[in-house]
Amino acid sequence: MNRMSTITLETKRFGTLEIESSTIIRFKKPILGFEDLREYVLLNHADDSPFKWLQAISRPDLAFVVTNPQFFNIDYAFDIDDDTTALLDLKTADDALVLTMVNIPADAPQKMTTNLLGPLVINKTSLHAAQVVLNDERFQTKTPLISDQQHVGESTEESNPAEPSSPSVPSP
Amino acid sequence: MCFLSPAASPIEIESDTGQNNGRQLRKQSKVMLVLTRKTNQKIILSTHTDEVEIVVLDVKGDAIKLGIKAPQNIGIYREELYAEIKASNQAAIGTETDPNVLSMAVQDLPGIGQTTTQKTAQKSAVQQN
Repeated sequence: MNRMSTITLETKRFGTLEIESSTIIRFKKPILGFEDLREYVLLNHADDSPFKWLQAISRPDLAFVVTNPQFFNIDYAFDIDDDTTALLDLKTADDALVLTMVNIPADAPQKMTTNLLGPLVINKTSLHAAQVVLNDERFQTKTPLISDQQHVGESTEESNPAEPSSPSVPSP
Repeated sequence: MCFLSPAASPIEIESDTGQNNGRQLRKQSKVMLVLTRKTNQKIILSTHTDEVEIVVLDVKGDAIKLGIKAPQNIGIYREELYAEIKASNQAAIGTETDPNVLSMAVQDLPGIGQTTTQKTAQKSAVQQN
């Protein structure tokens, strides 16, 4: 009926959303443990936020927080295996959007970690996706996103001026 | 030798309960078929759409090298990695994360979430001062 082909999406956190069906991400290789949930949509958390929400289409309550670890100054690069590049039809690295899932402890959100061992790889054009399991000893499932020095709100002491406290405000 | 048919006799059936017959248990995925294979012999796993071939390539002590041919849509994982990532995925939704909690957790962190362009803009602002 609708020429733009939008669907109405009920979500627990974001209310009722109208999304274009062309923005739906389809997992060819599932998120492990969620084999029956293949369709998601990527929602911005807020302007300038490093986070996005991967909202399940058919489960209003289910949304994963995802991020690009490079926003947190984490050095993150890996080779995508041939099966995945073929499955997702990735010709170059630029074809892929890589996101990692974020685990946020309810009682201590600043101790959030991200899973670098099982990244989500998405073809930017087709929006076909896969959770890839890396066989790479450099990566773990619980890498802290925020280092202890960055817990500025929690610390009662001033940060040591000898240490670089902020990577984003270099002294002139 | 061993025929890979459910009706063939050399297939052992181990069950968790030992109460039901093998057919019922297999439907419940609680049964383990135990097959003996030699080097270069294969096992085929088949559904009506997909076929997976597993071949024993080499045996050295307690290390067995397997070759696996499967369609691309079938994931092949080392079990320990699979379990770890699955647990991590499930923990990622377990916290009922509230969007406001997420914003507050990072709002005071310098440099977090800023794009390179923003960092550059900030740098220029500092230098102008």
